[in-house]
This record gives sequence, structure tokens and C-alpha cells, in this order.
Amino acid sequence: MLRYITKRLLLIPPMLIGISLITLLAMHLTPGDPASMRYGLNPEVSGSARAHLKELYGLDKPVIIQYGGWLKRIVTLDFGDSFIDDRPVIEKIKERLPATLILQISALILIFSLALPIGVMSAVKQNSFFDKATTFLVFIGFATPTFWLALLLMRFFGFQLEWLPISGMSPWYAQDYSLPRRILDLLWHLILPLFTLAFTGLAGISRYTRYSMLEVIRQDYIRTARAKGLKENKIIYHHALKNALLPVITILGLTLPALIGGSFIFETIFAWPGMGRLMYTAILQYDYPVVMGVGIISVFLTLIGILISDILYAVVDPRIRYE
Amino acid sequence: MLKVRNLKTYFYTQRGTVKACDDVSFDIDHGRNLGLVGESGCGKSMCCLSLLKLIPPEGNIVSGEVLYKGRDIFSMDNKELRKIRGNKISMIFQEPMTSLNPVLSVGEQMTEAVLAHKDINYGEAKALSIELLNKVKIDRPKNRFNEYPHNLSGGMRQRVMIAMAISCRPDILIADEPTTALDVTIQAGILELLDELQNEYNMSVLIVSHDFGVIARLADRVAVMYAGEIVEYAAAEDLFKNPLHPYTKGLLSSIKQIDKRDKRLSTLKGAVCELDNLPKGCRFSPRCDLASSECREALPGLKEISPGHFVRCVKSG
Amino acid sequence: MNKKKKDWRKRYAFVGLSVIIAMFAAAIFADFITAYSPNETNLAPEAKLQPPSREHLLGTDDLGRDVFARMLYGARISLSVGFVAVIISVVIGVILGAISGYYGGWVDIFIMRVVEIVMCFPTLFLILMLLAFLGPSIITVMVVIGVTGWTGLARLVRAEFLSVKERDYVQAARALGASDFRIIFRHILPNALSPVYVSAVLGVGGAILIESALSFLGLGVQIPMSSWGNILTSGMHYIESAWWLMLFPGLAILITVLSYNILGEALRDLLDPRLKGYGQK
Repeated sequence: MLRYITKRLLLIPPMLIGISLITLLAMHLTPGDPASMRYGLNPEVSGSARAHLKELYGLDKPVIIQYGGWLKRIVTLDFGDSFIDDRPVIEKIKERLPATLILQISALILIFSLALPIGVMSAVKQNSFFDKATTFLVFIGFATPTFWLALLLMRFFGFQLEWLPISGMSPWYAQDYSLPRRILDLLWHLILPLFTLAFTGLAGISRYTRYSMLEVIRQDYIRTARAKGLKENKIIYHHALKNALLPVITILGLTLPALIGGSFIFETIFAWPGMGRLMYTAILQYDYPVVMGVGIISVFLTLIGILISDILYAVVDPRIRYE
Repeated sequence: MLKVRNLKTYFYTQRGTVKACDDVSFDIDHGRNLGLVGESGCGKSMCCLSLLKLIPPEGNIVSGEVLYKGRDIFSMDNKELRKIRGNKISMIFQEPMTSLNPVLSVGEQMTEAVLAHKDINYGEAKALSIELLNKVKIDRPKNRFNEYPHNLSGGMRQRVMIAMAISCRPDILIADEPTTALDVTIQAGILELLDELQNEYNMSVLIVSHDFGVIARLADRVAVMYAGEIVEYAAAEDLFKNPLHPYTKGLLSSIKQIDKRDKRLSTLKGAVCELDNLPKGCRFSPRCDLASSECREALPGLKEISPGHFVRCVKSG
Repeated sequence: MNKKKKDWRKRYAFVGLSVIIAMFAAAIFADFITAYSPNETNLAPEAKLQPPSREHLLGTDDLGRDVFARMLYGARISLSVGFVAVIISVVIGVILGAISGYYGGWVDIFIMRVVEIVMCFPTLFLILMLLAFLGPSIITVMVVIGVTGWTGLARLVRAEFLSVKERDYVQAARALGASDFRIIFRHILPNALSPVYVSAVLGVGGAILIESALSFLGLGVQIPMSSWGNILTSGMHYIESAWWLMLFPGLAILITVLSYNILGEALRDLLDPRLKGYGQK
């Protein structure tokens, strides 16, 4: 187990080097001609922002020094100060991180609590009406632009029915509420962004669970379990699912980047005060240090998520646990 | 104890109907072992799996009865069936490497088998399991209890399967090619173990194999299967001394030749006919030296030639 | 797969392909299909935000522009972005996958490590960072989607190469002294193409989804040029009042992506049964 985790941890340094190279390259790709930037603010602002960036990260120094400096900043999470309000980037991110984590983690929980039963059910009742219906929905789900779904839900539940709040985390008056009330209020605001974010992973994970279950229930050890006279529920949810989970856990690791990317879109649409929204405003304002900071932190989050999924894998699979 | 009557298990595939078991009947008496022998692909395994309704979902038990102490297993509901499986009739399989669940510990897989049927607590089930591991001659049973299948060799896994199968003291143990996937040296040990346990528990073993050597070691009666049908059914001694069906003769002589290191290997020509493309008459006729036009016309029935010795061949008796 | 199932697959493939061709045709012949110009504004109050009517099939937007016309011209952008982005991904993915699979050893380890790194990167954030520095434009969007979307393809091609390169005819070509370049492109690649087709077709759908999201957020195709994504932006501004601004572009994206996915899945089953991944069993 320890060896396995060490091996996984050893993958992180090359990742860091790769990421630092890509991001440094991105900064150098910035075109010199401010007029090519046609979006939003005054081109002069963006031009000066770029000059400012060069100075901050020492992009005019020799490449080796540049890279060393950049790598050090990544490792120490020191991205400098925001161009807009001169506060350290990392502090701005710290403020926003909880909202993003709440959204991400609850989305993951929701995805798994829906996708696993759906996948298992459609595998166990292969070719049933339920299976065919979910197959159809999953196919539609793969092709649905999720931000559009967000708009549709917003219009329907927020405006037409007026059931759910359409934006923000908690209204300004929430500070006067008692703690339970504030938690309820938070959940209340969470529903729409959470559902749309979860939708991003739901189709894929339920599909994959189904596929993996179909493989597993054909295995010899499932027949053994039946021959022992175990109850069908125990066979499916204990013997089969535990095996079927293994590839699903791997897919979980690969879904994380999409989820974190998705939070950028939904935080922006639903005005959820997380990192994604911070990044969006930063891009519009040419606040480059914040852009870099959020980008790197989101990579870290993904890496942590993948590491957790690796560890989960080992927890489920004794072949790795006792390696 | 167990009477199988006219069992038909078919698979409907795109190429046609595969008759894995066609009108199979046999009896297993209390404390006596039955051997089921035939080449690979003749339907032996599907026949065994049918007894406990364990065939894969593509298969269909078309008709027939399996009477356990007079009660038909096929007409039982799931709850009753579960009380038979693993409790009264248990089973071990050909592939010990894949027959144990890789993510559950040996102990968990063993205790759950006991706990499913017996009214005892976990501690007692654990004690029983360790005792059984000891009985099937697994070293350090207390440690093995907490280990996982990947820690065990193929032979040990098959021993664990056997321990699990006998944990509820079943009346019948179905052993489907229990040694085929194992090394020769380990095979002998497993067979010896089965023999010992059969005596000690006074259970019946249905031993299935393509290998007459294995059958001869354990069986009291033998059924020879060819292309989904039983072609000869007799007491073991009788069958070995006086085989009547050309197929049985062929199988037996091919073993004897190996013993004698004869250069000519087999008198059985050709391969087992495809179960979805059966000849019109006797299914063995395309490979049979004695076959006449009569054989190719009509399917022969099973005839009792001498008391307890049945054969499905117009040329015999 | 039996014949009946195969016929169904063919039918699906045909439907998907027809819809895609129809979309392309509508985009190419937009000038003939609608009399309106996509950028012609009409700020008169009675022309703005009109619901669908006989004059304006899909209504008008906040600047009085005809939504149907904007969608037709927007189709040009959305369809070509998807197409070009995937071509870029295919070129990068095939070349790196081929090199990795063919040469093996350190080259292989290095390229596969790079693939892992890019896969762990939240693609959207990478795209956003690049867009933040390069500035939003349709070219940037195409290139950025292209250079971030090649990892799966590289893995696929590598796996194909690993299995194909040991076959007899490749060994024979090598024995005859064919150059590596020739062996890779003439002998191995043509035999490894079916998964590439499938994954390219499926990739177009994905690229269209990303492009529309970026344009929706104002980071992709820039106004006044229209794309399905940025029509939806005004749909969001008028979410309460103008349902048509929101409904139709979204449906267009859904139908297009769905068609590509149907075509891709059908192709996968028809071309290469081994690849059945998590499709229907």
C-alpha cells in the first residue's frame, strides 16, 4: 500500500514540471500587439497588464532564471498580487476555495449516489425498459450543452415556477440567520448549480458503471456466489459491485478535470462565488496573476482528486493494497 | 437422492439452437459417486449447471425435472432454491483462479456461505471456517482466513472452494472438472481430498471430467456423454470392463494406448460434432467405424442391455 | 453482431450523416435560405425581441436582428470550429501516437507521460489560460481546442501501432529495407485508421460543445460575428422574456452534437467490433 502510494506520489513532480513549462509557454505566447485584443477593456490596459506581468514574473530575464522563478512560485503558491486590487492572489483564491469545494464535493456525491444505482440497475436488467430508457437519456445527456441546460432550468425553476433561487450563494441578509437556517439557505442556493454540474459526470459514470457491471456479472466468482445460495441483492451489491467499482474509480479520476472545468461555467452562470467565477472576472480584467493562480490551483485540485481516487482504488482492491 | 429426468437445456443463438443437454437422465444415490465423462464441449458443464439453475442467462432449461428427495428443483421459487444451493447441493468449478471473488477475503467468502444457511453467529462461523481450511489441508489456516485469493496458488484456491462447498455438510457435491486447470501433481492431491471427504461426510459426489483416470478414481457409476446426450450409463466396473458404445470404447482405448506408449494415438477420428449442427441419425455416426445407413437414419434410444447397463447404439446388444 | 443489428447501425449512421450534411448545406447556402442579414440591426422598439412569426421564423434578438439568419451564419462558425479543431487534434494525436507506438522505449515513455500530464490538466482551465493570453478569437478557439484534445487519440493510435507493428507484413516491409517513415505511414497507419475515424467523429461533437460554451461566456467567437454559443448569451440576458433566443440555438447544438455522436457510435460498431467500449453490448 505504502509503496503504491509512494509510486503515485512520484508522478507528481514530473506533472509539476510539465505544467510549469506549459504555463510559462502560454505567457510567452501573449501577442505583443495590444490591438489584437478586441475584447472588453481598453487595449492600453491589456497592453500595460502584459508589461506588468513581464515585470512581475521576470519574463525579460534569461530563460533559466525565468523558469526557476516560475517553478518556485508554483511550489510556494506565491503568484504575486492581483493587478486590480493589489491583494495577494493566493488570499483571493483562499476566499473562493470553500464555495468551489462545496460545489465540487457535493456534485461528486450526487453523481455517485445516482450513477451507481442507475448503472447497476440497467446492467442487472439488461435490455429492459429501464435499461433502454437510461441508454437513450445518457445518449442525449452526452450531447447536451450543459450551460444550456443550466439556462433552461434557471428559466423553468427560477423564473417560471419561482421555486429556486437563480444565483449567488446566500443573499446579503443571510448573515442575520441562525446557523441551521444558513445551512438550509446554502443548500437552497446550491440546488441548481449542483444539479447542472452533476449532470456533466452523470451520463458518463452511469454508462461506465453499467458496462463494468455487465462484465462482472458474467464472471465465474458471481456464479460461485450464486452456487453458495446467497441472496441476489448480496450478490449484486456486494460481490459484483465491489469489483465493478474498480474501473469506475479510475474513470472518476479522469472525470475530475471536466468537473473542475465545468465549475467555471456554472459558477459564472449562477454567480456562485467560487474560483471559477474569480477566474472569469480575472480574464475579463486582464488580471493575469489571478488567472495563473487559479489555473495552477485547479490543477493541484485535480491532482489531489486523482490521488484520492488512486487511494480509493487500493482500498477496494486487495491485490494493490497488499502489494 | 437426486433423480434427473429428461433434462433439456438449449441455447438459442443466431446460428441456431444449441442442444447442450438433450434428454439427459441419471440418478445419484445416497453416498454413491456418479462420474460424468465426455470430450470438451459435449455439454457436461451445462448439464451440471442446469441442476442448480446456474446456467448463463442465454441458456434455457426447456424441459425436464431434477428431483431432490422427491422435490422438483425446477419448480422451486428463488427462496427454496437458495436453501438447496450451497446447503444441500453444492458445487465446485473448473477454474479455481477465477471462481473466488478477488476483492473479498477468503474468510469473508467462507463465512458468508455458512451464515447464509446456518443459524450461527460470526464467531462460530469463523471457527468453523478455520477448521474446514485445516481439514482441506491448507497450512496456517488462521492466517489464510484473512488473506485474499491472489495470495493463494491454484491448488489452494480449489481447496478453499472445496472447504466452502462442504461447509454446510451437503448431501451432494457437484465437482465440475475440479482438477483440469491444475498441475498434475496437484490434481492427485485434490482427488484424494475429495475421496476422503466423501467418505467422512458420507455425501455423493457428481464428478465431471473429460479424463477417465479422474472418473475411475472416484466414480461408482459412470455416464458417458456425447453431443448433449448420454450414450452409455453403467456401473463403473462394468463400464471399464465391458464398454459397449463405440464412443466409450474409443475413449478408453485412447487412454490404454497412452499407457502402452503406442505410437498410434487415438482411434477416435474427427472432432466432437457442433451442438448446433447435429447429424440426423445417431450423433456419433459420422465418427463411427461401425456406422451403417440405419445409424444415419434414426436417433437410437437408450437401451438396457444388461441390468443397470444402458447404451444408445443400435449395434450393441 | 448479427445482420439485423448491423442494419440498424447502418440506419443510425445514415440518419446522423444526413443531419450533419443538412446542417452543412444550410450553413453554406445561408445566403439563399434567408433574405435577412445576420448583422442587420433594427433598433425600432417594435422590431426588437419579437417572438417567432412569419417574417422572423425564430424571432428577433435585442438588436432587432433575425435569429434564424444569425443561426444559419452561426452554423458556419460552430461547424467549422468543430471540424478544424478535430483535424488539429487528429494530426497531433496520430503523429505522437505513431511515434510512441512505433519506436517504443524512452520516446514512448516520454510521450505517454506528456499525455498523462495533459489529461490531468482541467482542459477548460488550460483553454481559458491560453485564451486569456492569446486573446479571444475564432482561430485561437480552434487551435486551443485542437491542441488540448489529442490525448485520447494518441493513446488509441499507440495501442494500434503496438499491435500492428509486429505483424508479418510490417516485418516483411522492414526486411525489404523500407524507411521508418514509409513503414509508419504506408504500412501501419492505414491499418490503424478505423479507431481514428470513430474517435474523430465523436471528437467533433465534443469540440462543438466546448466552442459553444466559450462563445457563450464571451471568450470565443466575438460579436458581431454570430455563433450558436453567443446567441445564447443574449438568451441569458433576456431569459425571462425571450424564450426563443434561448431555446433554438441550444437545440441546434444538441441536435448537431447528437448526430455526430450517433454517427460515431454507429461507425464504431460497424468498423471495429473490438472497440465496443461502453456502447451497447
